[in-house]
Amino acid sequence: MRAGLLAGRIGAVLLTALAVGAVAGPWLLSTDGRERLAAPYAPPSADRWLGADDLGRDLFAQLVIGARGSLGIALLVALAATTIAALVGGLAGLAPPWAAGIVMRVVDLVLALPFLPLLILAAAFLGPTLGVRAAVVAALVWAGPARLIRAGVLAAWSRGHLQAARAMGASAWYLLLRHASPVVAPLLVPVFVRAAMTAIVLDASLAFLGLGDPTSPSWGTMIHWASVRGAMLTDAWLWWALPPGLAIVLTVTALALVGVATEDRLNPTLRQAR
Amino acid sequence: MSPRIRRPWTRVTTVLAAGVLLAVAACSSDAGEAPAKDQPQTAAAVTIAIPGDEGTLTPYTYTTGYPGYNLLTLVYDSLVVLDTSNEVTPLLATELTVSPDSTVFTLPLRTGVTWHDGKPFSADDVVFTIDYYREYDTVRFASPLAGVDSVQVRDGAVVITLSQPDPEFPVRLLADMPILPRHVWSSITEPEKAPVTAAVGTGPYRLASYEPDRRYELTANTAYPIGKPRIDTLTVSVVPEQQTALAALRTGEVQMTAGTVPANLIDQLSGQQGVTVATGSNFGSTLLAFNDGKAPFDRVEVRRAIATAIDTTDLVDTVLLGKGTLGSPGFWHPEAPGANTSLTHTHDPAAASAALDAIGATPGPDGVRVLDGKPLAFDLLVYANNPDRVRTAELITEMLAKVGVKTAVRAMDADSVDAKVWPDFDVANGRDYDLALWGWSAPTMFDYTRLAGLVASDPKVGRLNVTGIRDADLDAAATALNATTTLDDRKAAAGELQQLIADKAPFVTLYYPAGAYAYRSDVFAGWTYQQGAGLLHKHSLVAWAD
Repeated sequence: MRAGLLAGRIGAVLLTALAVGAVAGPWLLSTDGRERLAAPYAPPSADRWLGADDLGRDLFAQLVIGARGSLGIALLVALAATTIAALVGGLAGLAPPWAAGIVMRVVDLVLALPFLPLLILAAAFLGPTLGVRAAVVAALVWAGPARLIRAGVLAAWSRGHLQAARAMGASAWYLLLRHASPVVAPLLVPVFVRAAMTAIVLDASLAFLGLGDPTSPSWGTMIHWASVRGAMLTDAWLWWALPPGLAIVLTVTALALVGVATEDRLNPTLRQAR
Repeated sequence: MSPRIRRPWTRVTTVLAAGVLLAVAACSSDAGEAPAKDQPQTAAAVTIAIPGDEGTLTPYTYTTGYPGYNLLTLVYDSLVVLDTSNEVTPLLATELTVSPDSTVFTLPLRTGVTWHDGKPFSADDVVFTIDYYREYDTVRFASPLAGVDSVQVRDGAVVITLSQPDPEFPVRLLADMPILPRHVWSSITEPEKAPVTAAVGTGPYRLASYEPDRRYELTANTAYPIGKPRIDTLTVSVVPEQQTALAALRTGEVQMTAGTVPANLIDQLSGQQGVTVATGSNFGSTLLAFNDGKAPFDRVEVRRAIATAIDTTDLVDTVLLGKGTLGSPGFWHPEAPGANTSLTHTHDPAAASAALDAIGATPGPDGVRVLDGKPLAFDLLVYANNPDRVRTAELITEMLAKVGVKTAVRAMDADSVDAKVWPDFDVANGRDYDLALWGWSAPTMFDYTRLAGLVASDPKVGRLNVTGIRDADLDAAATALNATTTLDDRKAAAGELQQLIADKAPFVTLYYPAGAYAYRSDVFAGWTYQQGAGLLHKHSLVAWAD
């Protein structure tokens, strides 16, 4: 089996496991992660695998439930960013050059924005709810992929069979739906994956900096509380900060593996080089 | 932060912005119960970690009320000083005589005192200082001076006459105001830009060197006539992260951290050889504020019911790990002077439910009570950067849910919360919130007029009335308090007002978090956890002559 394919399978298995855990996990737990069940700062025990946080709430439950928050925002952002990128990139590819020029300058502008500072400002001004966070990250992440997709559309446009169809009088919409989209659509997969990766890391960064909603369950929130409650000065980081950190690493790695595998599959030149 | 100038210093984010008045009482030492050997009371060199730069350490250029002002008091002296039990005792003045109507204050001055540059200190400097603060009035010492009618020098004594009786003048001003040297400051016309060479005082330590954003070096003033400095060289290092500062304390790089130790780290730190954590109660308060002008909080029954539903013992035990004092329903810290200690908080969810039933607030289909057609569902604002308060808000949500009141925690940055609760720090601007976690800094408990300020409906009197309470009884009691002319009368009036606050429940006083400060007792153990200033004050660092 080729390395790319193997990586892709590992990634897919990991992602599926994480998704299943996020969806089904909370039902299997005996607590919602908000009940106070143990002494504050209780270390791990047979009942509480990862101990308790500063209010005595189960950290393992928070880890499982936090997956929903972290994967949820990844999914939201990736969907939104991919949609915006596909629309903007696709339209820019089809539009007359002067209009495409304007659109692409807007893309340049968004690309030039300082990412994290802007995100911090937006989080401070607009409030830290899940929807706002997702919207802000998505609003910043779409620009790079939009360029990629426009390039894909332009490349597809110049292909022989499209030129031929056009010569026979096919409309732009027909061409787009029938002939260009099969070429461009696979480009969306890595776009989706990359947006999801960025979203998870950014959201965790925001939460860690205390700019997220400190009461909404997510892996970043767990790390935030571990940090502000001094877990780094005691052994508690082992069961409080490390597990959500590893979960983030695992998710991002899985996404990266899937991304590599799809790129490998879609790009024949890469395949031959191996 | 620079609470000194831009912001009212009673706001709680500037909790520590209090200087002399920062109040801590009932001091105890967790690990320092068996002193004797290896508890040196003097040291050649001690390094203190502070969280940020404090400018050139003059009354116009220091940055924070704590620890900046505390460092300032090592360089400058005031006329009198609060001792370890918060009583006014002499410093540059040898005694303080107050006229029966609290308008004339006579302060004979100590002789033989010199400035750090060798020039003699005199009554002229005191008169100059008062004039200077009144002319350049951007410092907090300026506002109590507004009521000064005249300042005279008679037989080496300074006589200050006020136009209105002010029994609290010694605490509010005389113990707070650093005395400036006329020969240095008379030529300074832009005090906000005072250079480091203007940091000349009569205090026990002189500022030897200053590297901005890095360190200060203070050396003992061997000519100090009032006592003997206990440390030869005091280095003050800027360490922005408290966690880093605590790590440095453990390794012995610093011998004291000015910041507080989080409750969950106290045991661990004090368990280490050579490290002592001194804890004491702090008069800074944490409250649940109602928007009293807005339904349903304009009904005292609703406020009382919510107060009764809250288990303050649980809050202190869980959020503060027991390192705090239960809130008195009368607001005043039970250990603060003038406290009405007969008041205690009642937690009784059944009674709270019954009280809400009685006014017709019955549960709707989702379990949330409905009063006058509106569900009892509210946003609870809280500073996102204050972990204790966020956790408190989460627990209050849990407690109120049990009596059918729904709250949603809204953690926002401090400025956004302030803008909704106390717009532009002026209660006359109104307010826009339902419930908020709020608090006042420690000095509030040292000034009885602030108790009136919390509940008087006239914005000019009720300058701290962020809940917007408007109640004839409270107004009458506040007016009566402000009209008293002797300290005893004022204390009595404050006791009555506390009783009334407990009854009307314009807000719920939840708790007063304790202070905890760590130091290396194997290097220098002379730190005393004293009234207010934590450990960092003259009484720790000077062996008084008498």
